[in-house]
Amino acid sequence: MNHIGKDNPNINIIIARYFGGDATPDEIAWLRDWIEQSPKNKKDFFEQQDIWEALLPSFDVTDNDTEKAERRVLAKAGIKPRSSGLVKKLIVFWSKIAAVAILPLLAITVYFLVRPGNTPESYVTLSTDYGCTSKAALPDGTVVWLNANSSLEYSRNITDNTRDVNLRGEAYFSVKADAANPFVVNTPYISVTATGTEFNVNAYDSDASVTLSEGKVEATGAGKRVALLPGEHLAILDGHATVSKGVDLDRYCAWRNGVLIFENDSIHTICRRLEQIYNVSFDIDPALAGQTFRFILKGENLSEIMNLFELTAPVTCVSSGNLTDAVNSRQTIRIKRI
Amino acid sequence: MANEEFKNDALLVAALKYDSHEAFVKIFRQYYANLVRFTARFIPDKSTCEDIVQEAFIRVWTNRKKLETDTSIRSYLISLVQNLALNELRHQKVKKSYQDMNHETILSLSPDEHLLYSELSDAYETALSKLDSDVRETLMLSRQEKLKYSEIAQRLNISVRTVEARISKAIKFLHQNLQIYKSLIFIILSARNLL
Repeated sequence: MNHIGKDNPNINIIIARYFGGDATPDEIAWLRDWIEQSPKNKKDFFEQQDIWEALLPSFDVTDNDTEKAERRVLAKAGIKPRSSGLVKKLIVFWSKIAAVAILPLLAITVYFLVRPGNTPESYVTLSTDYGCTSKAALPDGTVVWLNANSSLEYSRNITDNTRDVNLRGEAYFSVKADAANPFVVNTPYISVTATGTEFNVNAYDSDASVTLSEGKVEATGAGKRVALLPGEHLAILDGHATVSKGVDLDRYCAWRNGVLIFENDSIHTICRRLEQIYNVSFDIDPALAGQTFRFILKGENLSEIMNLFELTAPVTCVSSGNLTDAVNSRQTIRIKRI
Repeated sequence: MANEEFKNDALLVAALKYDSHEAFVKIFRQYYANLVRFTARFIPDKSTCEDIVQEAFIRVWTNRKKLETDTSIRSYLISLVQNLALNELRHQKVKKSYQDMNHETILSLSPDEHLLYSELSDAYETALSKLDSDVRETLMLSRQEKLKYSEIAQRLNISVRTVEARISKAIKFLHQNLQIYKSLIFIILSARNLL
């Protein structure tokens, strides 16, 4: 089947055989000579190859590939995540090396557990699963953002009585103003009384905290009663209450916009925060103690977060199981220094 | 800023020089998949192609301050990808004839002479529909079902020679049909570069 005739080889057939992978070495050599003979030949050949290739791309490039690549490229180029509104321009740093990008889409799923009852004193419980946040308006007009792995219980008659709610986990409250009827957030570790303000309460465990963004609240915790002003943050640490002034509100409150901000936080602080929100526990290499990290997360799932972490810090993250199952069963992730 | 429309390369380049992430992301989304498919022409491995194209984008960002305002982003990216692919081939020292051929000629081809996948795909359907049905069937068996010519010959009960002739006819026909489309693309590209 040699198509190189002595006088008149059929170039079109040879090109077809070449594309089909059937060309002999002689034919390829001949084709190469033909291509080099004139710019027009070269142009014709490559155009035909364009056509041939476009009819069957060697592999598919999916939107998912493009998204992944975008994050990699932005991280490698050191491009900061897109900032918006309140969120300051922050960049992921580890020892000034790398940066990390954010998922453009923030996946929030909302999960309600409503317990209806017939009695006038019935209570409603709003709760969220791991990895999810939700937002709700209470009957009195107060708006609540509930962080992951949290629940909020309130009376259906919240408008008639004192406005008491019970919180486990974390929530941000924008309290409807009503000076005569204080709004009280009860948690096992801390309680907050407000009349019309905006504040965040973190009460996943005994190291609870309250952060005030607007107005004024009274917070009680660890046997102390403190009046907080905007920008003040009350933290209970090992049973002791401390108040910090002029804190970066986004660090404590931006989660309701799906953003988690860590700034010079220890790996233990970061992992503890992730444990509150995701169904995961961390086993941290003691060699990493004392290292601090700065980064922001925006809607990434656990396995993405671990990938970003490995990308930006000299660590490996090994999980006990499939991270996508983390909603159903608690996973353990071991973080080791490389 | 995020919703700002970047109408053409000139604006995109200007925005890039001012460190606009939005411009960079927009360029990335517009060209990434296309360039990976384009790179597949020289390198048969998907992850290598992706690495090359990602590296090209990183270079665009790194060199953004040095870009001339009349740079065609498209041509710049294609030439970056070509050069990176060539380096990769030299590095790999792959001695397949298929790649050898491109290896030698790839650099002499101007970026504007290449068509990207998305630029071609629109014109395909009409061109394909104009093909004789037996020619089209042969082409599809080869390209979509990935059959070898000998397998197609068996299936259609024709000679391999006939298969080759039909494939050749199909390519030539598509080539001629797409010329008009291609010259249109050239006009658009040149017009963009003038802005």
